[in-house]
Amino acid sequence: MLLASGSHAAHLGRGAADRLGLTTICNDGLASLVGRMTEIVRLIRPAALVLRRDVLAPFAEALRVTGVELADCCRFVAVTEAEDAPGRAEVERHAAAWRVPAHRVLRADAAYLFGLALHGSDTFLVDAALHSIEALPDGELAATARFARLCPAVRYRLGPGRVARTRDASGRAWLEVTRP
Amino acid sequence: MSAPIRTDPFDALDRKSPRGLDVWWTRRLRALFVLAHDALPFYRARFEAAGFDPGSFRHLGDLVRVPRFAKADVLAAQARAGSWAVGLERIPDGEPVVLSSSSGTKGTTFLAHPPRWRRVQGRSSLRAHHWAGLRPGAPFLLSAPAWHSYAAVQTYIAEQLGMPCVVISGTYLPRFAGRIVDSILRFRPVFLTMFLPMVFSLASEARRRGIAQQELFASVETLAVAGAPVTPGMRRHVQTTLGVRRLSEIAGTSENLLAIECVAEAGLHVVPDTCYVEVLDRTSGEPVAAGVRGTAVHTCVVPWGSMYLRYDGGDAAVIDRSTCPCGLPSPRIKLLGRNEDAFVLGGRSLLPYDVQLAVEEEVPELVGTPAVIRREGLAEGRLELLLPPPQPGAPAGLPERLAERLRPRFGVPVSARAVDHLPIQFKGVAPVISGSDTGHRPS
Repeated sequence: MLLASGSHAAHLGRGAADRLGLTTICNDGLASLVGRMTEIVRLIRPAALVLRRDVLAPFAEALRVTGVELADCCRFVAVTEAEDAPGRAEVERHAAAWRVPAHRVLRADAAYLFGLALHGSDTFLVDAALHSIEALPDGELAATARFARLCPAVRYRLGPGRVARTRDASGRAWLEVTRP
Repeated sequence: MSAPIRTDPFDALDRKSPRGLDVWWTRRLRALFVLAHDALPFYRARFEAAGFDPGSFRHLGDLVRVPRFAKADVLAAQARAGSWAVGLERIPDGEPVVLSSSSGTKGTTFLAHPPRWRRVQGRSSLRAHHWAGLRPGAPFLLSAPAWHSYAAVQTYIAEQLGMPCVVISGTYLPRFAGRIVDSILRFRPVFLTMFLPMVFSLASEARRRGIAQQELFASVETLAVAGAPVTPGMRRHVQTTLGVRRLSEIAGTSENLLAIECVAEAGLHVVPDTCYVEVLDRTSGEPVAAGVRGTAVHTCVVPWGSMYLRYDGGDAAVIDRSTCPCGLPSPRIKLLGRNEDAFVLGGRSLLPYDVQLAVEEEVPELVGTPAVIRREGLAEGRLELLLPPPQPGAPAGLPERLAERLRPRFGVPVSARAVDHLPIQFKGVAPVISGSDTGHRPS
């Protein structure tokens, strides 16, 4: 939410959702508020949902009990995990039940790092213009934010994994991160 | 001789006379009602059904002709529309909006906040914070839950004052008290605002860690609290135990009723460029006299986003239009609790606030003590109170003394007893809980 909306993050200016011209709502990310989440789906009909992994199970149960169909409005969900990435099996199990693609987010908040693994993929894509990621001798990855000046994030450990560079069709550079 | 307690005016609006402010409100409300009729289907239908012509609105006394509505009306409109948007939203073409929601206790409604709303509401809320003592400088701990409209306003205030902000992972709920304690100790805010029940959770967390409560709040000059009515005794208790110089009570709802306590601590001033507030008799719908309890009905005066015009949010309130020593012109209100939480005892309609007030007035040693009212007792026409175990060094027999003092006050049988554990999160006034929730049998 912090990076999505300037209304919720002081001094951010325009967040990602603001730049895209989206309507946003935040439900505070608590499992106890899943009842309100189903109301959000039913009445606001969001095109996309960002969910924390620990909310998946209670949210799934709330959808089941209320009979609200996520696929009627939602094009995808993105699942996050604090300072980590959610496991693929758990996420795809819910995605199959909801009939909605589910992307996974790799988060390392202290390094301002955000990576996305598209539905069905094991590889998280990180913008190479924003971060460099190196493989350390002990098998872990370390990320450095290229843009952070006031609070630099230099060689922040992400845990074990592999990294490779790639370019998309437009020539933009990406880092491909895979984790065990 | 002590200096008079005056509020530093925010701008020219604060320097108006009460009469001048009424004139300002009248013009603003008339314009809003015309706008609502012309642009918002929700109001056009209601105004026409009630035979209200916005052009005929001449003075504040004309408000009685404007139809009121409540949350149930919005929920019904949502159900009919199958959408959060029910025709009371004014959103400029092409502007993205941030949505917030109501508390959800009695169903969830949604409110739209386009950028123009945020600028206008933000400035008005900045006024309220200025009254309460917020000034540029020390860091601002953002405390509003993201689902509440205040979340979009708090950030605006911090931006306008150039204040560094602290965003605490989690939310302002008891389970995250540890993180908030860490943040207070690390960033040492001078002005701190939060949900009143969280204050008790923070105090509890400080005790658990062996941190003196006054040390935790040592930097805090003003503690602004919302979410529950504050009794005079509770005010003294919080100020004394935490060592904060000022406690400022806020009445702020998702639907943008906003009032805040001034430096004179003589009630909560309605923030005039956020809303106009009436306190009405629940049966007749007529305005009540000063100090008489009624239901708060407010009209938002911000002409953007979800416009709540004559909305009965279900809060029991009193209003005071007398001159305030602080110099601000707007009337003062006090929200005393939810109408739905009222109960009848001894033939009188009471709120948990009344019981908390009675406890502290009759037995001052119990000021700040959490208590529980057993629902089963009320059903049998008596007041049954559960209290926590006595504090070390407390005089013996306080529960018995309390019961004895409360009997003539309420005119009903009263019992009070200490129990090992109160299974509640104390919110500042004694909640009504059924026996199955308390786990205690009647005395």
